[in-house]
Order: sequence, then structure tokens, then C-alpha cells
Amino acid sequence: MTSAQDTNLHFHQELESLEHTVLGMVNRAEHMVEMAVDSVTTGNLELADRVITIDEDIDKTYFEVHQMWTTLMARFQPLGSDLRKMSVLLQLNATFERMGDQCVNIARVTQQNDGLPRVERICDQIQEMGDLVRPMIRTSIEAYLRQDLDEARLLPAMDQPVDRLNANMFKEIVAVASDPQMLEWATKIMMASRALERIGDQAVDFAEQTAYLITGKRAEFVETGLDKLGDDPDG
Amino acid sequence: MSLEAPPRPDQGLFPTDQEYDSLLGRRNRKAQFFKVFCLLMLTIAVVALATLLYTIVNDSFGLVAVVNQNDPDDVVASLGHDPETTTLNDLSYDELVGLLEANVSSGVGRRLERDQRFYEDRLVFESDEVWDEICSSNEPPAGCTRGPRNTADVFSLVQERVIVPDVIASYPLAQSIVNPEAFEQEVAAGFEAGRFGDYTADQASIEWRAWFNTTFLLAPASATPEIAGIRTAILGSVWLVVITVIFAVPVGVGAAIYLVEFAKPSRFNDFVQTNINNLAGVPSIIYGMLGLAILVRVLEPFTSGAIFTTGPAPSDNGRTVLSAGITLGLLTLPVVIISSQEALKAVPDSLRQAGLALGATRWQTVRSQILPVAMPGVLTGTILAVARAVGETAPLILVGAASFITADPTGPFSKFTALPIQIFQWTSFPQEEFRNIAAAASIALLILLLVLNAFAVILRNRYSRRIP
Amino acid sequence: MTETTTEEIVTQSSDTEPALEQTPDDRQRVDDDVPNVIRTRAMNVFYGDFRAVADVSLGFATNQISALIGPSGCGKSTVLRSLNRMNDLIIGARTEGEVHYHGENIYADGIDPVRVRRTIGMVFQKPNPFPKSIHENIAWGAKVNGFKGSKLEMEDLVEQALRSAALWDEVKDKLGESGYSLSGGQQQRLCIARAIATKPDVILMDEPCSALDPIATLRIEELMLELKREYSIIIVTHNMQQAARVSDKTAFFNVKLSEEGMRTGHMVEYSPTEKLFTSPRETETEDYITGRFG
Repeated sequence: MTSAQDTNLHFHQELESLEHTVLGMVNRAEHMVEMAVDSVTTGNLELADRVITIDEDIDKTYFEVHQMWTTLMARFQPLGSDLRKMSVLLQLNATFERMGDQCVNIARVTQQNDGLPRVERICDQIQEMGDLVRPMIRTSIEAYLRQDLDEARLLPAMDQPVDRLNANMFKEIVAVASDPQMLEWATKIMMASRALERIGDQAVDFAEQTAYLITGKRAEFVETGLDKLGDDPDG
Repeated sequence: MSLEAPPRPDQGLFPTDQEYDSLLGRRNRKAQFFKVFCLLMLTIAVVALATLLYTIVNDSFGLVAVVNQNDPDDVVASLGHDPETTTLNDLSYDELVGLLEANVSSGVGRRLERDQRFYEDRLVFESDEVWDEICSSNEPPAGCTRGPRNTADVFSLVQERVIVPDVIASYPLAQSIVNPEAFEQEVAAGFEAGRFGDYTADQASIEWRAWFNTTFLLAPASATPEIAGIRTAILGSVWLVVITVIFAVPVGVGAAIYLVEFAKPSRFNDFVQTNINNLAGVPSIIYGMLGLAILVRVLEPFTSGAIFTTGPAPSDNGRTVLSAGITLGLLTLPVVIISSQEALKAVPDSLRQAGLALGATRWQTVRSQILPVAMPGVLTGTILAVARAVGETAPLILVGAASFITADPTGPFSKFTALPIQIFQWTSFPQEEFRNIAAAASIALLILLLVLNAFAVILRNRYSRRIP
Repeated sequence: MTETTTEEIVTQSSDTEPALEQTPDDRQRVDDDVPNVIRTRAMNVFYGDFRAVADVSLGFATNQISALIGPSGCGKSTVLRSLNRMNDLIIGARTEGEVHYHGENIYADGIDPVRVRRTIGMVFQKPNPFPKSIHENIAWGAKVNGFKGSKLEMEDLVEQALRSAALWDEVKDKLGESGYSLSGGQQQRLCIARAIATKPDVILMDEPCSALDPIATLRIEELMLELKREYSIIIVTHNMQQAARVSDKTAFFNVKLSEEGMRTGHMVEYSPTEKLFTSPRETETEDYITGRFG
């Protein structure tokens, strides 16, 4: 896209730098999810602390990005695809900050569940959710970096199993209602499950933004809508 | 030194600080040299002009030794006035005519009266019967139709015929102020050497004379330099200016408007423009020849006024002030066109665009918006061109300015003379006194030009104030 | 005069000359749902042999503001000046194609450009009031077009025009003073009032704010938004943000190098403004508005 004679070079360079910072947050978010899920399924308090520390960093970056964004808007009044990218980056900034917060929620569950017995079955499901969400984040990053509309459209389908697992969690909790300690642990785990489901939604959101950037049209990725791929009969 | 910039790399191509300082010294000295040189040129120009002015003024004022045939005081006294309080200028018209009657021969008197009468209602030298006879003949003299003389005219006649002053020696202004005694001695020596003919030393009186005075301006021309005036010449020049303006301004400004506002670029228009530019540089004598050939000869019925009257033509040939005026008009026409064009072109095009964008026609735009803005430039250029034409001599000579004429021009078909012509003629006479009055006439011409130029400057300033 | 549809124009012109081919692009660029006050059809403008702008087919809607943007030399000013035949004043300028004003081709034989300019007025880049009083500035346009009213009616006209141009309050006590005594922004509003006084239908504006400071610029933009209720406005601007602020539809022009090395302008895209500035249809447009233009 950049020709040899980019007359708006300074802006484009700064935009690239902003983009780079935002995407950096995404990479960290993916890593945080892995750590958070590990921590809650193994009861690792150290990991939980690490997640919380990283989130503080993410919050700081969030403010910096916001500041940078506002300055760029005031100085350059971008138009066209530059304008759309700015709009997207602003949304993404908020999205990843929320992702970080959701990871913190999972870490807090770890802390609160300290000392309580873990339910193997539920831990497996949480792990599975984590294993589904992390590729979603990676795919959405890839779709953005490659500006690939088809890849972006994969996301809603990838989100369906996560939603199903989350919906299923209630049944699992009821199954261990007999044991009060397990019940307590499982109830808290529900928060982690919900957090993971939200992270999944945020990855879909990321993909929506990417689609807008590419097409210029805003379209909510409805689960039964735009994506004609991934026809899951159970969805 | 704090003025120097901090050192930068690759300064090998530029002088070092010391080199720069010495170079600067040389540059300043050179600048100073040229400044002084140009000032010197200016000084030369100023000195030349000052010398010109000095020469003219020097000859226009000064001491003279004059011998009057009849002393003005005696003449005044003979009429019963006290010479201490009354001078010749104070005499009434009737008194002046009376003096003429008493002192002039009847032959001369009749000739004067036939040229121009003294009174509307009575004759002085002629008898009524003879007068009626000659006036009803085939070729009546000018006095039959012309109005009576005026006081200045009769005064001049009295001077010429009764007083008969004779300036026998004159002295330039500068020396008159600085060393008047030398003049007295010179005059005395002249009398001893017998240079002044029949006159004796006691007849001569030395007085201060301003050759350029109001009498000079109001008196008609005369063969005697002491009493000659430039009234006829001034009036002639004024008539010429009027006719020149009436001819050159509408034609010139109109042509300029067409060329700038309406003409589309074409080879023909370029050709016309080139010719106009070249005509501005054509020597004025060529225009004189044009005037002579076409206006005086071919268009004689028109320029003599013959086709306008059924009776005798106002002028017997085409050498009238009309011919000369049109000739000068043609002379100034290219300059008027060019300066008007410049004034019009100087009007910013944005005004034209604004006018046309409102749905106005070109003429409406030009008349209401462009011309008013260009007017100061047009006027200035016109006045300056006309001012130059006032001083033209060669074309007027060819077109027949009379070198000696005493009658004032009364209309476009009159014979005429003009200031430059008069000056030219007077300088060609041998007597010294003619040189004095030629200088005085030059002052008059310069003043006329000054007035015209001042008028141009005032107009320009007045208009420039209005347009920011 | 009723607006003629595209089909009608095609059949009309086929009476006198072979019908011009109508490409699908033409249909796209001409909004038939909205009445067009001016419509160009395959308009080419030449200066001598040089083709300044090629094949422009555009429809400008009534009571809307249409903007023409593009880099220098792209022909946008040329197009604007062709709409009221001001281009005729340039020696050697020649316009081919048609420009229809309410359906009537203003370049047809026998059409007097003076008549065209009465109803299609123009405001220029540098304010150019006449060196006359404020009152006379506005009255003159009406007078040369044959104003029949009384002195009082003229004063009313002047007041009306000044009010419409949002200038009345500032000058009502000094109508006799020179137009030059006003500030730049005021002078430009005076020029707008002057253009309005002849009761035009369309106002063409050639970079009207480029000589003004930002506050004056915004005032004029506000004025434009009000004026569009009564007039149709077509504006050329090199300020993209301005086009984005005021216009309803924007046309982007670009320069193309022909084989002979001539730089000819042509229209790249004509879209509703918000679309053109957020997600334009053409890559050329996108490159220009993001500054990636070479």
C-alpha cells in the first residue's frame, strides 16, 4: 500500500507504531490466557500472581495507547482506510484491556479456590475451553495481520463450542452439589468459565473489526449469520 | 565573534572567517564606490538642469538702460495727473485712446482702426461714410467684423507709438545684483564710444526691468521687443491644448479600451499594437509634414472652416489652429493610447471576473468597474503627453504657425501662434533685447508645463487615496 | 422547468445528433432519485491543443452541496468554471460535450453566456469586492441585470442579500463605506451576498476559504450549510476536511499522464461524502485521501 512517495509518511509510521503496540497487547493476552487457565486448573498461586502483574502492565499500555491515539487524531485527521484503522485500533485497545481483566478474574478464582479440592472433570473442561480460546485469539491476530476476510469469518464458528462448554458448566456444578467444598470450588470455577467465554467473544469482536477494516462495512458476526463455513449441526 | 554561526562540516567551499572579513571589506568599498558614482551622475544632471534654469532666469530680469522718446511721467502729467501717484498703467481707456489720437499720424491711426476698432459705437480716425463704404465692399477689413480693442492692447499701442521706449543696453540678473555699478560704467563708456547712435547720455535712464511681468503676459506681440508680449502666444498654446485634448483623449482612450478589453489576440491586433508603439517614437516633424499635407492642404475646406459657412470662410487657408491642434493630437495619440492601455492593464483581472460572473456584459463591467479604477492612470498619462505636446515646435512650424501675429485666436479657424514658436522666432533676431524676452517667454512656458504636471500629480494622488 | 430524466435527454439529443453512448458509469454518477440542477455529459475542456480535463459526466443535485477535490492540475477548477461558461473568457479555451442546466444545454449554439451567468453565480478564491461602497457592490449586479424596482426596493434587496450572507449585523451601519474596509472573511461574505443579489439558482465557489483564517473559514462553511436550503452549491476545495464537513457528495479528480505526456484531469469517483472519506470505492481515491498519493 505504501508507494515510494508516501506524502503522509510520518503519520503512517506513527500509525504503524500504534498498531504494533496494540498487537503487542494481544500477544500478551494470549499468553495470559494460557497462564490463567493453568493456574486455575492446577491451583498455582504463583501463576495467578504473575497474571495479575502482567495485567497491570496491560492497563498502563491501555492508557498510553489511548493517549497516542488521541494525539494522532488531533494532529493528522486521517481519512479513508487510515480512519477505519484508527477506529478499529481504538476498539481493539479496549477489547484487549478487557481480555486482560478477564484473565485477572480467572486468576482471582485460583486465589479464592486455594485449599479447595478440584474436580478433575471440570478442570478438563476448563482446560478444553482454554485450548479453544487461545487459537481463536491467534486466528484473529493472523486474520488482522494478513487482512484476510475469510479467516476473520472463521471466528464465530470457533466461538460456538466455547459457548456450549460454558452453558454446560452449570450442569457440572449441579453434579457435585452434594459435596459442599466441591460445590464451593465449582461455583467459583463458573466465574472462570464465564471469563473464558467472554474472552472468546472478544476474539470474535476482534475479527469483526478486522472485517470492517477490510470491507468498510460494519456487520455484526451473528452466529447463525454471516459465516457460511463451519456449519455445525449442533450450533 | 558572537555573530558567527557555529562551525559546520564541509566548509572548504566557503571563506574562512579571516577571508570573509577581508572580502567583506572589499565588497563594502566597492559598494561605496558605486554609490558615490551614481551620486555624481545625479549631480551632473542636477547641475545641467540648474544651469538651464539659471540661464533663463538670468536673462529675464536685470538692469537696463532705456531711452524713452516721450517720458511716461511727462505724458501722464500732460493729461493732468500727478506723476508721483499715477503711472501709465493707471490711465483709463479713453485717455489712452486720446493719447494715440494726439500722437499718431492719421494714416497709421486709420490702419490701426481698420485692423481693429477702438470703440463699438464711434470711430476715432475714420469717418463714418468711408467706414460704411469699405465695410460693404467685397473684401472688408477685419475691423468691420471684429470686436473693439481692450485696454491692454491700447496700452501696448501707446507704449509702442507714444512712449516708444528703446532699450539700449541690458545686464543679466546675477551681475545686476552683484555689481550694478559696472553696468553704469559700461553704459557711460558706451555713450563715449558713440555706440548708441543719436542718443545722449542724459536721455538714458537706468532702471530695473523685469522682462517677465504681467504686462508681458497680457500684451500682444510686437516688433518692438520692449513692448512685446506673449498674450497671443499663450492663447494660441491654450487653444492648441484644448483641441489636442478634445481630439486625442476620446480617440486614444477609446482605442485603448478596445485593445485591452475587447480585442481578441490575432496577428492583425499584434500588427496594430506594434505600429502604435512605433508611432510613439516617430519624430514630431514627421507629424508636422502629415499635418501639412493632409490637414492643411487636402482637408482645407474643413480646416479653414469653409464647409461650415455659406459666406466667406473664417480662414483663407488651412493653416489654422484646428489643423495644428489635430496635428498635435495625432502626435500625442500613440502615447495616450499606450499609457491608457497600461492603466487598464494595471487593473486586477479579478475585478473583471467578478463583474462578468454576475452576468454583466463586458461593456457594463468596463464602464462601471474597470474604467473608474484605471482613470487616474489614464488621466496622468494623458496630461503628461499633452504637456509634452505643448512644447513642440517643429510640427507647428510646418503647419503654419504664424511667427508674427497680433490678433488673438477667436475660434478653431483662427490663425495662431504658440509659445515655442514665439521663443524660436525671437531668438533668431539679432537684437539683444529679443534674447531677454525669449527668456521671459521660456519662463512662461515652463510655468505652463509645471501647472500641467502639478495637475497630473494632484489628480493621481486624489484618485489613489480612494482606492486602497 | 421540469427535470428531464437520463433517458429523455438521450432521446432529445438523438434528434439533433447521434445519441451519446451512456455507460453504466454515467448512470451511477448521476443520481436520478434526486433532481439534478446541473448535469454534465462527456464534457472535455481544451486549452488550445491541451486537453485539461477529459470526459466528465456528473450530476449535481438541487439544494445540496457538491464538492470537487483533487491534486493540483486535476482540472477541478476548470470543471467548475465550465459550469457557468467563465472558461470562455480564457483565450483558446474550448469545451466539448454538454452541460445541462435544468435540462437545457448551456453550450448550445445561440446561448448567451451572459444569461447563463446570471443564474449560475460564482465566488472566487481571493475575495474581490468592487472598489465601491458596500451597498453599491451588491446593488450593481442587480442593476446591470435590469433591476426594475425603486430605490427603497433596492435597499431591501441589499439588506436581504446581506442577511442571507450573515453579514447584515456587521455592516448595517456602514453601507456607504468601501467594500475594502472589511476584513478578509467579511469581504468574502460580501462577495457571496453580491452573488446572491442577482437571485441565482446555483452558486459556484472556487476555493472560497483558502485565503481566509480558520475562524472566517468556519463562518463561511456555516453559511454554506444554511444557503443550501435555497441554493445549490458546488465547491472546489483543496482542503479535504472542508469537503468532508460541508458537502453532501464529493467528486474526486485526478491527473493522468497520456501517451504524449500531457497531464489530463479525469474524474475518478463521485460518491456520497461520508462514504468517500471513510471507505471510498476506488483505490486512487483511497491513496489520495490517506496521503499515500505519489
